[in-house]
Amino acid sequence: MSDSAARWAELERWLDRALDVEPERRAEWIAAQPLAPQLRDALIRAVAHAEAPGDLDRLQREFAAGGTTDADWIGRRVGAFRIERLLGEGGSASVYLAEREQAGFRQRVALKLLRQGLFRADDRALFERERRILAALEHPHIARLIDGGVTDNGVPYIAMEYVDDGEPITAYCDRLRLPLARRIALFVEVCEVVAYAQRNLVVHRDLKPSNILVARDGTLKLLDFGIAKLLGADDDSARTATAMLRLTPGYAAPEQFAGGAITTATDVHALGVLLHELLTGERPRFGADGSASPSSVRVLGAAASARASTPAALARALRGDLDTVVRTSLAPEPSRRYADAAALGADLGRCLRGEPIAARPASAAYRARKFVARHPFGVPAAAIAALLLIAATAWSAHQTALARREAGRAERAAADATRQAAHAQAESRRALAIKQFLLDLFTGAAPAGAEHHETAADLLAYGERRANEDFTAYPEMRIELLQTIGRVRNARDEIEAAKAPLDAAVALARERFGAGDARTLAAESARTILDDSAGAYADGKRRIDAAIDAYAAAGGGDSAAFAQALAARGALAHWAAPYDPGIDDLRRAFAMLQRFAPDDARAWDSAQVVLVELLSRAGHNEQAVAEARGLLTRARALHGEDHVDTVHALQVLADPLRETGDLAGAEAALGEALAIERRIYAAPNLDIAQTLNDLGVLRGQRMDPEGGAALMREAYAILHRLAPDSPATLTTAGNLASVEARRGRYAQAEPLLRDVLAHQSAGPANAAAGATRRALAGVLLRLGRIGDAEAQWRAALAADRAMFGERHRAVGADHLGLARASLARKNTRCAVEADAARAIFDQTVIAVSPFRTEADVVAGKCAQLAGRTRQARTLLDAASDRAAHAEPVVETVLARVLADRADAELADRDAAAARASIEAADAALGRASAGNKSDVDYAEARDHLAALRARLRD
Amino acid sequence: MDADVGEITLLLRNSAGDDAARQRLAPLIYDTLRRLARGALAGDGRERTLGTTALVHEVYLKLLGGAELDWPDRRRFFAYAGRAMRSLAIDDARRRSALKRGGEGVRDDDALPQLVAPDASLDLVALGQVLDRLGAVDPRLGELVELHVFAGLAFPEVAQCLGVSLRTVMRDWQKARALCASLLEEPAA
Repeated sequence: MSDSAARWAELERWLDRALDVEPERRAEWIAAQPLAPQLRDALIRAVAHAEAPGDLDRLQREFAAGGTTDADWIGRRVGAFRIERLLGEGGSASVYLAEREQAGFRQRVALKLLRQGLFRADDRALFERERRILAALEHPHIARLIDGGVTDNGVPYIAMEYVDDGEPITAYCDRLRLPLARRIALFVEVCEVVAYAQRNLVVHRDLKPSNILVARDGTLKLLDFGIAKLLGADDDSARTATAMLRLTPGYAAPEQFAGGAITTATDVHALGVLLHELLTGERPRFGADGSASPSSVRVLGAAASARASTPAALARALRGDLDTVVRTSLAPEPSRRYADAAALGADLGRCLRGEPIAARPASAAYRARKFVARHPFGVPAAAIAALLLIAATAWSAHQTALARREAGRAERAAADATRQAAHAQAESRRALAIKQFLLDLFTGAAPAGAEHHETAADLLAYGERRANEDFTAYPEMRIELLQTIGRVRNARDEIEAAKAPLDAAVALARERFGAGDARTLAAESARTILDDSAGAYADGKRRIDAAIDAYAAAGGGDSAAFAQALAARGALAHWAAPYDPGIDDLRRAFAMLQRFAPDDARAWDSAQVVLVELLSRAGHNEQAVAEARGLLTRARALHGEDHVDTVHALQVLADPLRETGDLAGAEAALGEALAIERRIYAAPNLDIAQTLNDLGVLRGQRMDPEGGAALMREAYAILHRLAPDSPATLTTAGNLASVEARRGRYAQAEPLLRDVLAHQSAGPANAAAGATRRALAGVLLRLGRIGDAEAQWRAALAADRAMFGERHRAVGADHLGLARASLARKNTRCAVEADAARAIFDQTVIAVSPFRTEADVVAGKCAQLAGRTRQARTLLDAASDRAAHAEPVVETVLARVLADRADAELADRDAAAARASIEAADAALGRASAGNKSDVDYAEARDHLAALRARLRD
Repeated sequence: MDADVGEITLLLRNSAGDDAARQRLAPLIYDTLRRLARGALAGDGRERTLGTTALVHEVYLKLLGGAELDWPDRRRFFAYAGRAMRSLAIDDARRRSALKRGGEGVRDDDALPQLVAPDASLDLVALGQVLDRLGAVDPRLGELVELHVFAGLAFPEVAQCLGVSLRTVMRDWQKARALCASLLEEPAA
């Protein structure tokens, strides 16, 4: 053995033991071991490396999934073009220099490729819109659209006019040391180009020096309509949200941050920033009253020399009208700015010619009015929520039910922001403070002018620090910010990191508003939702009960905040039976939200989704279906068919339908959901995987194992690629194993199921583990290990009882399993378990549900075993009746049940009836589909029938 | 060179104890993989990037059609495929890096299109050396890396292939991380 192998062998032994210790006690444990210092250091490093994804994981991800990087495109052909080099990268696209080499001429183009891996539908939509806008604009100073399309492997591209050696307008002016008048004249040209676009109803939304180039020959070119908006076009809010994520903080107008209405005045703001920069050499700063501060037009010596001027002369030139033009352009309220680029250009032209300008400085009275304008609480923070949320959802990988629910809440805040944007504009001072905050959030400690993309996690961490350091003077805003950051973290599954801001928000709110205040209740609710996510059910319950009591004691009545608190408390109920108190809370919350938050459909949705889940768990499946249908109707009315909310509503509806045994209805709902998802998502994602898995399970339950397995395999492929170690991936792996079992491959299924179970059991209690246990028990029974099977069913029963109470389909299924085990032992007491199952199914599933069929079969066989032949025949008649009326009829199951019926009839010495049953069974087998012939049911029925015929002959 | 499904199944079965079978099988898989990789990225103007999962899957289909192998045979297939994939990918990276340095002449038909486009920050050449050493120090972990990274098998599939529990595979992956990191830190012997 080599030295390294020997060293590793020793380290590995210790590593194994260290990894067995709980993470939080590990350091302590290592310190307590008798290790040589060198080995101890190595062990500490090894543990750290073992726990965190590293080079190997990246290698795996890159290799297994494949991927294309920017460098990979160089030299390739796209359409008629060959890519030469990378020119620049944006948030979701890369721009390359490319050359067309057709028919003997060479044409250089700027080729923009939507980056792979970011195939979000929004990005595609924006990309498509950019192409349409470029095609509609024809102006010598706007980079022309040359070609566009989709590469063979599905990457959209746009070929645009390439500005040969173009440089940003600011750099161009500085390099040539252009004096003020020349700069203003050039800027007036920019205004004219933008005005042309605006006349064509296009707002650029991202004007900045790097998008306004001057070519070597001095020609101006306006570029990048990547987030441009068509005025009057109905803008999907999500798309606008994507656009918001990509705006350039230094140039964007307050309404762009606040999610407000985008108008031609939005471009005027950016032009104002550019003008300021061209004149003084730097971007404006904004004072507390929202306008560009008096000191903002500061003249630097360097700026003067770059303008072939002296500081004093420059200062003189910048006073007066020019100052007014800049200030007017930069007004925080769009209505105070120039209406459009044409108006700005015209006024500047008047400046150049020494004519009186149209804009007037804001009056002192106006400023004073704005200064005292205050608003108690709310809107701008919602805007932050919107922004943070967009960042969060863009990066979020997990789509667990909880995260989705919470994301729904945060999205609601985003919707609020848009809806209330009108108010936001009136609140200039606040909007400005928020803008400044976000600006800092984006630019952070990076060098001035640098544009860079940070991760959502960075943004959140920075936001939290800023909230605590810079917002101490604005406690109300600080509370809301902290709450938002905590919620977004929670939605991103960063449970630990969410605690500090939410705890701080609660403490601050208590101190500032008192324990009984609605705003404190809101903070407590947010913290409770985190407890819910963390599985700290009891803590959450204590917290929210106390908060609600305090609110009531202070005389608080029905309100939106109270409704949210009730919803948070109701959601906690999903952790354990009984569910009725939670159901009451949610019903109250839902009614209260309809009264006190009439426009907030998102809040209704969240409450109703949880309500459906609880009703279903409590066995009130019909009520659950009714609520889910309400949810679906609302989603369709609000968003139409092709919308993610409609998809979620369909998924929510499928659950109780499946629970009641209406498998056809559930399959229809999921099939529709999948069809929509395939339309609205450009690439497979976790949402689609979830639907595929659910649909696959359903097909399996409807005795189409082949079809079910195909769907699950597709789901598994997606999950394994996107979230290899997530609970959803395990669940799908377990489902695939169940399919193996249904095809009789028990030996393969058992270890798979055991592995999945081991992982599921390691986590908090969950319904999936119970289902895995039942599948495993079924396999063990088939393998003849009755005792092992029984133990698994008992464990499942105990867990399901704790989770669901007595009256739930899962509990019934566990009883049925125990009955099967007893039957296998020829123990006549199996009837007790079978009856328990039948009693539960009576109340929880529809008449033709496979569960009731199987329960009747098992009860019938138990009766036959006990010699109660009459009863056996009645039960098996009922079972075959159910099987014959299932939707659709599964012929192999029908044949098996008919064979069992024939058996009972023979035992009752009714040969004629038995013969008829056998014939019917044979006919059913003859009708069985090819796929069903690989079922265990097929083989079982066939063998049983052969034996029965032999007995009849005797 | 072409072999039918039956022959390959037989080779896989025999390769456990039969050197001749091994010597026939390994190049067969390697060449098929290589042919497919070249075909996938042939200079016909069509860009198509295949991940190892897809590529190995294609090799399986090509060589074995839809035949379902027993687990021990399947394990051997994926072990060969993983090893072939790894030498293909890493050798390719080495050749590219040699080319960049203007090193030894490379025959044109040796130049493979890039199989995958790995993370630019990954030094494939260095990682390739580390993986060689990792396999030498702990062959079990080496096999795991080949199956999971290069044959593209998911953890549950690796577990089935190796006949161990998922828990064991995941623990071994943690160990492989640690070993890989420590080998990257320490200079090559």
